[in-house]
Amino acid sequence: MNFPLIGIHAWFGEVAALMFIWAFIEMFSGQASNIRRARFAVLCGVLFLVAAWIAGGFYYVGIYGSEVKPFIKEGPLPWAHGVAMETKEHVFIFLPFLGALAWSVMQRFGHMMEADPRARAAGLYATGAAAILAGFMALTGFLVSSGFRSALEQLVA
Amino acid sequence: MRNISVRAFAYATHAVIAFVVWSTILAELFPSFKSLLAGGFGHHWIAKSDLSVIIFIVTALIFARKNDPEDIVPLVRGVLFSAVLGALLIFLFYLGHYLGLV
Repeated sequence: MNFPLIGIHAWFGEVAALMFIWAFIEMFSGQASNIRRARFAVLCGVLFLVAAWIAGGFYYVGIYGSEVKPFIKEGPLPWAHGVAMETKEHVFIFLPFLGALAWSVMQRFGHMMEADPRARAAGLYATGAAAILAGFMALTGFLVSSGFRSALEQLVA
Repeated sequence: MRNISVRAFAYATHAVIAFVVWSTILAELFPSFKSLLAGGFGHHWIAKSDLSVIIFIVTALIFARKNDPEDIVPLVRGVLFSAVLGALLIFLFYLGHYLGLV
């Protein structure tokens, strides 16, 4: 079985997380050039999140339910689906909207961030929230992959 | 985008988080609700995704013209809190469901 969609989903998602981490770091310095780069990074982060959503959605609806889930449920780590995947597939939906919020903060308050530490703090919270949840998605994705791998190992053992 | 307040985006994100949390829990507790979601959109996850987009857009448009406060930190921090709480609720629900407690 070869599922390029899951690789594409993971790649988009991880690049999105990196974009929000990049924006977060840029905003610590808070110079005009940092804010400009942070705004660019947040925009890229949102676009990558949407791409990850679409790729992950096609994979989840078209492949995961019929070709992966049954193996995990019969394998040694059934909680990888029952807890990790069920949590992941729903919490993921928050992410593009958190990204959109971060983008709106950058659009409306980006020009004030150099002089106003509170505006910058709002940007830090918004990008930090997106980065934290994206990291949580990567962790749960790892758990689901581990559940599938251990199920396959059990089959060949 | 510049014309829509951060407040509108924050309220819209709160609305999406609340919708996802409650629709997820209710869909697991009441299979008929899950079937209703799946029936209308082909799959319950697609239904939640599509409805989230609609809820976000409608809520953001309703509050688009609301003025932003001078200090938007509490507004954004509230969304961060809401997202972490929502994620925790979903995780705990599925943990309880898996253990047969719910």
